[in-house]
Amino acid sequence: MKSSVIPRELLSGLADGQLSDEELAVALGACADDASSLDCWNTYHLIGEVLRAPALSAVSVAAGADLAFVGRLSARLAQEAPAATPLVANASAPASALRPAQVVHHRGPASNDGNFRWKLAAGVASLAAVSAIAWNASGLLTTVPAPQLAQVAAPQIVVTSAQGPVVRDARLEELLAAHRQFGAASALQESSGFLRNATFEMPQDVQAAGGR
Amino acid sequence: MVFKHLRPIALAAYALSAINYVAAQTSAVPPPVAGAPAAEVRSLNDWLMRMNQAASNRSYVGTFVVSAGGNMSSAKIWHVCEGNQQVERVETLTGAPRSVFRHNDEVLTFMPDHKLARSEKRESLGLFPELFQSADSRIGDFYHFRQEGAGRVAGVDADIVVLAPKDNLRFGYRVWTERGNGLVVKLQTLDAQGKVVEQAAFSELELDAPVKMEKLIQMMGKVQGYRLEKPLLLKTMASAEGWALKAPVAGFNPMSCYRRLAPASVGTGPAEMAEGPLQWIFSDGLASVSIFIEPYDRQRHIREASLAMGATHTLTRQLDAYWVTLVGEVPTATLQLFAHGLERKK
Amino acid sequence: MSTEPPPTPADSDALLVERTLKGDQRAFELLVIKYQRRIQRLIGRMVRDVDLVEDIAQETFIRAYRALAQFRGEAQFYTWLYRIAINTAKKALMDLKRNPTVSENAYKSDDDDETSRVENELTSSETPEAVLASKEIAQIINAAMQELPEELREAITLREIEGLSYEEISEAMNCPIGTVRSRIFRAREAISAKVKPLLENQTGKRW
Repeated sequence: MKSSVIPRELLSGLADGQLSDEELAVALGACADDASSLDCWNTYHLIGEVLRAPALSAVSVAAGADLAFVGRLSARLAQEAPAATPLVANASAPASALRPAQVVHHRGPASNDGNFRWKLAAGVASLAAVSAIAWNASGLLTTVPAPQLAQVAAPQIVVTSAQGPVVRDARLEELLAAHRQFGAASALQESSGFLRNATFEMPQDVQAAGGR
Repeated sequence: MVFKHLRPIALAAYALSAINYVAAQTSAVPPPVAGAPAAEVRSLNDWLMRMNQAASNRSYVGTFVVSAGGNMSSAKIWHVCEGNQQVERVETLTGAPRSVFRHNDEVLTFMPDHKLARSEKRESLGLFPELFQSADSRIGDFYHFRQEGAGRVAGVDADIVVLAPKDNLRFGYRVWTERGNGLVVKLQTLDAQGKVVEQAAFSELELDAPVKMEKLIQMMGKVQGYRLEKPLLLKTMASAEGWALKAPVAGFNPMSCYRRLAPASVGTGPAEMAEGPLQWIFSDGLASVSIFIEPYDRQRHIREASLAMGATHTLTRQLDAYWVTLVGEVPTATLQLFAHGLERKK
Repeated sequence: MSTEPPPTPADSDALLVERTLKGDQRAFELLVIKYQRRIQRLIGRMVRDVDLVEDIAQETFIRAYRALAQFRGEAQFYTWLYRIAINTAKKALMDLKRNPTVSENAYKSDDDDETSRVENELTSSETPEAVLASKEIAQIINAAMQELPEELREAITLREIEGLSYEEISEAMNCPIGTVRSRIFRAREAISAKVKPLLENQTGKRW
């Protein structure tokens, strides 16, 4: 079924960056409803590429395979967290000795009850290079209600969240709290001490680790 | 020859305490090695003492914001001094609800969402004065101290100083202290390129606010409905526990070592507590590093990692039959030095 | 540069990126369609194995999707995407080198010179059929161009080859912008009609 002309004209405009927001919405809607719109978009760009190629060369087009490529990609994108919220920038330098992570994967949103979010850098396949994000409120605040340092802690859990993969490590949070309890081992902590340590929950962004 | 004339002019351009500048003018260019010129050390010590005493002689109420990268968190703070008693209350404004009260060394943390209250002792006093009494201040060996001018933070006038590290093992700091009494009102932690990795500052500050100490102490007593928890620390020595650092990490001195015991409800004796990790604390005077050592457990100790949160870095790794976690406000490379230097003696 | 897209004055890439960040996956797919050939050609200069090229290309777009929020504010989307492609390909090549079971033929020496000569566009990873098909398609498109009414041909030439904005074209052709838009669209439609039958036959052919 031939897609209607109006959305195709919008796609032509979109290819040239000449659409208003509403027009863009309509154009994208057409693409969602009608696969031939994608064909159309593809062909328009192919035309441009060929026109710009010098006379005696041929542009390798892989034309038939094109939509198959994006079709496969689309299925994978659907598995990803939507690109809608800021994700991590840089993968940090990995620790020197890396062992394959044995972590438990959970799907679903990471709830906001954790003060800590040790985050994984986007696109980093191995869990070894991690960027952490959240702050603990004061050396003495942890989210873990029953710290039980001597007992078996839960294994590290990777949760796929809207913010990307997030690592929960209750144990590490504990130790950080313990470290901060001694913040006064330094002059700055002693003085601004309680204040600087009184750091609190951070939202979802991530810092690259300062690995050198 | 020319330089001698220029120095006084340049320095006079800063509107800061004359005493420090007279002292600075007469000092030579600081040598590149450890051992700061006497004048710089004196300025540093004066500044440190003043900063330390500030909080103990003034009450205030304020809103405090910590940011690292694009992330920010904040809390409201009440601080009151009466005689040699200090009480503080911190209420988180972002994230999980937390109320932290401190009465001198006693700290009580309320977690309303978990109906849990944790009681701990803040290990503080005794360390600070010692750090700076000695003439050759250790901090001066590893940080350059310089005045940077004046600024305004949360409506108060502040003096700015920079503590620039002399090596790559530590971060630098830019500190704003309130001109009247030296209260730290803004603190930036800087990396080797001078980039701010973390900033903590008041966004609002009311000095000499009429805060009632009894009121805060009263609030501290409201543990009704909360499960109370009291973790325990046993002071020990790293050598007694069988641990040593092969090579010291420049500037960082061991401060103390504790065996942590699992917290229990009030009333449980130490004999009934389970042993937790060993915590060995180091400091160079401005930054501290904790080395946590516990037995290696295959099920729990899954992954070696290098993480960062603002200025705080952590490193975890296995060392024979042990699992080591290093935490500190230092670059990861410094933690790696500690990790590599750690060895089991017996 | 042979297949460089014309500079888009009102950046269509930026529009699509922004749309993606608002949650519209389809907007990202339009970007993928737009750049997939270029990216695959780029990777094809570094990697010989055709299947691997496509895998790396897929991985490139996935990484771009994940990191899309960091793109905001950067100059050109393609420049950013290009770097991701190069890094992804390099990493894949390194992984390959470590794996002795993978044949040497799977990778070539590094060449991330985007300005390599046109002849290199057709890599040895293309099958002869694919090369022939590409030539046929190019021929049809060029023929269709010649058959266009003058004003349509001029409009699409000014846009695609000269890279002028609609506004500049309206000045050059002395007609309203709406007319420019319509002419470019009709030119594309006319050419598409001729080339589509050929494209439909390409299913399954690689490169």
